[in-house]
Amino acid sequence: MKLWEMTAKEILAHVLARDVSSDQVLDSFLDRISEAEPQLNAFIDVLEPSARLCASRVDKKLEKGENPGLLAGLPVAIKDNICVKGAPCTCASKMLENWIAPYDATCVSKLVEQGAIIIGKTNLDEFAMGSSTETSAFGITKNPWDTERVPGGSSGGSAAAVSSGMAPIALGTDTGGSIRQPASFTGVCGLKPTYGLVSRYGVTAFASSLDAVGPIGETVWDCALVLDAISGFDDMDPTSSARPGRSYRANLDKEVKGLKVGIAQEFLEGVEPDVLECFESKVACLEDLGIEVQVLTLPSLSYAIDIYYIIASAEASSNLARFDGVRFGRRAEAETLDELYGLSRGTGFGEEVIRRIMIGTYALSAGNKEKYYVRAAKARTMLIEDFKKSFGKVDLIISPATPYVAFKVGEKIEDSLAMYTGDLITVPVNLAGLCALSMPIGFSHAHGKMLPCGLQIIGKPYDEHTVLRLGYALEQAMGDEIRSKRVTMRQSLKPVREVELVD
Amino acid sequence: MELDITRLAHDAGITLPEEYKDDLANDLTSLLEHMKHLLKVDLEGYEPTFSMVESQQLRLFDDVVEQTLSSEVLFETAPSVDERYFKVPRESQGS
Amino acid sequence: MTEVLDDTYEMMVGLEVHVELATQTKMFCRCSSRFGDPPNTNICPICMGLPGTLPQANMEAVRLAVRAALALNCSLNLTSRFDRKHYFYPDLPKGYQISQFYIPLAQAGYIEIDNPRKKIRINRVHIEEDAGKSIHAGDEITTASYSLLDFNRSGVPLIEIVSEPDIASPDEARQYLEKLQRTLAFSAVSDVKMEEGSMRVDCNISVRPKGAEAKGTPCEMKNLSSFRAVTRALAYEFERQKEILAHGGKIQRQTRHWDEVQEVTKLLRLKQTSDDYRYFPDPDLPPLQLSQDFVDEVRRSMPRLPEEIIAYYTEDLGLPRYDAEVLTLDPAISAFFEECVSLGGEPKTVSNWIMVELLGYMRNKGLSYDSIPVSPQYFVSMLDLIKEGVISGKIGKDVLITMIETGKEPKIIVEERGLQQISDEESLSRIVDEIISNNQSVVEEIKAGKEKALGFLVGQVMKVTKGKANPGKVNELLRQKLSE
Repeated sequence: MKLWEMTAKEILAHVLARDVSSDQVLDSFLDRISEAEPQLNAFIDVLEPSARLCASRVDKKLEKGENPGLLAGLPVAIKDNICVKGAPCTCASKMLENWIAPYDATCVSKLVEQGAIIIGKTNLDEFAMGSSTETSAFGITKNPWDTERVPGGSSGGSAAAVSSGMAPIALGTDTGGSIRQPASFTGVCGLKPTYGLVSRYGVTAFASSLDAVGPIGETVWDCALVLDAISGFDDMDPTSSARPGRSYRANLDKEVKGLKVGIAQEFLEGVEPDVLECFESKVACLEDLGIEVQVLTLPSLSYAIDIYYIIASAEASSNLARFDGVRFGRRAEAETLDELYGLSRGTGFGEEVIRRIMIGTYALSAGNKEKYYVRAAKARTMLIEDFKKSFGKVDLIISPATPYVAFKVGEKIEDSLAMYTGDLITVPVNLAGLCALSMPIGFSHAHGKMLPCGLQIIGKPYDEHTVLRLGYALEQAMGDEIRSKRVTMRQSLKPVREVELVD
Repeated sequence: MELDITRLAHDAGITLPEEYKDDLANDLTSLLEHMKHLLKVDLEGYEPTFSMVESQQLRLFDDVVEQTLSSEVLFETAPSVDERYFKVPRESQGS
Repeated sequence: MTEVLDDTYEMMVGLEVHVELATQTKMFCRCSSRFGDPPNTNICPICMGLPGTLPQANMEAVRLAVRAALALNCSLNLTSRFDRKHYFYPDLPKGYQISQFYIPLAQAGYIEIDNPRKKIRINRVHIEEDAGKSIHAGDEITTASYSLLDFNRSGVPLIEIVSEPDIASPDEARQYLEKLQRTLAFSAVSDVKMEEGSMRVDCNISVRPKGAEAKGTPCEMKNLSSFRAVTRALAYEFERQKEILAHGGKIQRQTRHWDEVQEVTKLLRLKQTSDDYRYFPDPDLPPLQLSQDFVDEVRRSMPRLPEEIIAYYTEDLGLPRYDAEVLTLDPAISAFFEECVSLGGEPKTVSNWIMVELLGYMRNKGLSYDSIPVSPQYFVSMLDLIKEGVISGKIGKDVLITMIETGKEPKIIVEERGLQQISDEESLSRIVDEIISNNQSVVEEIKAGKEKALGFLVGQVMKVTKGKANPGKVNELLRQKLSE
């Protein structure tokens, strides 16, 4: 098995055992990138020179017998809306095409402190607004399972990178499902941590009260490892939680028998039959593990999409007001100030970003604020309380991760409403500040090619431990089911002599 | 309420590309229509949630100077710099 | 005397004053907030609004804001919030200003003015961050017109003090601003220098017929550069609006600009609707929670305010109220005065010399009252020299000026310039005799009963001795010799 084919846990074991050097690990993944990337377009930037320096630093530590860190020698792909000092941070937008981040995000410095190697910046929907990575200004990313389909979004690049073996782990951001949905579409694990658990400092803000940074990896353990490295209080982030964390890896294999799990029936509405089938078979699996499953109803879930789009757009319109071409970023040719703003923003932002800014501006305008923004904020409280009540009855809530499997490129992009309603299962988690894991549980065969289906496990705030524990148990119970198919898929991504690049 | 897309774009600081101005107007109208669902639900007794940190306290920092970055770095990535100033066109008169 | 402007119309003025807090660092980052540094030296990702940055609130700014609110008799909201105020302008990096709109730090305060004696109510005091500075270059004619931006000021902590429209005349406005400035200077909250921009004034003025119930339509004037500009602009606006109303017209809501040179207000912008700042609570910032302990500690450590000091000067030190008021025009003056007294200076003497000679000199030279150009030690030293008779009072005035201009010690100045008073009888006698013999006609006048002419002879002696003769002794000797 090549190094790039291994999980983070496996690679780490080899590095710590001194079987391989950090540099060799990096070599393997860079090779894989040159193989698979032309077909997938998962990366906006590959950061080879700085990665080499990082790797040699880690190797030196290992030689000296010093502690190389929790993630010694592991390459990590970073979504390109997270600042890595000295590297471009484009947010997949023409607005920031040439912008170099002058500082590291806290989550990045934590990774580097723990010996991780930043291998590259991955593609995303522009400014993290989207569910397919089709709104990127630097081309779409393809789904490794079927390159005519989207990898999901907005963290499509990170998910595709891990899924195809170009990086063992990646960081994504999740504002309405942007880690969980692409993880599900590409058959990998993705975790949205509790709001405030991972610092947002250095992460380009989309919606301040909804954004979360989280790991994407092949396995639950791999995600837990990254979470151990990046979580924790940061005084650069005023919303950072001061809660002490226990190791997320340490209790993964604890008993799950007796856990109470709820299925919100509202989450099953509109779910495609192939996905539902996969989901129900795994529910049965959970019951075999001794889990008590019950049906719940959370009526406020039917308003979740409206609440989400109003609040997220309002906050986004505010957070993106700083992009004006004055101090950094794209500046259009302009003779007056009005032109400077209007044209820089009008040509720098893509259509989806403009759409959301307009909705947000509308929702906050005098005369509309009460009807839209404030109402949405009140409905959000109602949703939070619905969840609180439910978590009084169950420990966890499960659902399919998405209502459908990966759709074809171009299929939904013209119909905003259709794209938005697809987020129904994921947005409530962000609205309520909860944590949730998305993990692969099987495949749909309804579309010609085999396409991954995912399970979402939702936990109470700060209860990542229980979420990960259940995920781990299910993963163990499934054995090699997912991995074997993934290996086959990865082998099919061979380098092609004549590559058709789609913009 | 008729959506005044020109006024909205102005408030948002965006000059809308002509190509999709009309499509965008239609799009927004239908999206906003959909969001009106929220007008039907009874929200009596619910306080609005404006952030996820309502129950936390603002942390306050000591008033000690710390220079984290040199201005030179910020000048490097600026679109237009004149001596040590950032330069922009002047506000159009009578606006 | 209370100003009576008009019998038929009255004005209602509200003032919005922005004050920069005297902290070391900015409101939401730890860049220096110092004034006057080279452009764009005190900047960082946070105050430049770079992607991914988040605010870190300044403890000292909160403390000073609370202190200001208490000094202005406000009631504090122990829980207050920060909100985002959106507008596009190049000196506002984030495209929004972090301010307090829905729940400000403090409300319902007042400032008392003397003439007429009334309370001007303060609606609110809230904390916000400042924007950067724009310098406009080029003119309307040339195409090459541009603005230069300096972000040193971006993020500096401000408090905004909003009055109710209780101010009824330009002079009341002046009194309010002077009182406000003094109160904030004495509570060490801010430098409050209009010329440095640490205090900025916007006005809202509306006019209505006297006794009318309905309020007039207000016009706004922003960033007036001095108290004088405020009073003049208000007076002008009053007349302008009155004219319109008297002819049956309607006042349009406008933002107007005060032209210092032409001394008129000019239309800047029509305000058809009030500006929509799309305020909403800042989701990045938890509520600002003040404990009662914190507030009590701020109250306890509050520097003495003018009224308290005036009471001390008048009741304890026996100074007249007028003196006490002059000495409390600026914290630097009262500190100087108290230091002199603690070094042994006699209060009334020190007071007189400060009020007349020292402040007079400073006024002449255009020196600001916030920095006394001589040390208390030297000042008291000089007064001692007068008390001991080493120099006369008149010479003392000279020495004071020399002290200020050269920084030298009074004793040294006196020695170097040979300014010692001549008091010994022998030398004075000789001079007096000479003056008498040279001014026989005047002597005759004095002997004839014209007492006042004695002063002329004294003056002659002073002239000859270059002011160094001891005037008391000269007087004595003249009387003695002339009565012989």
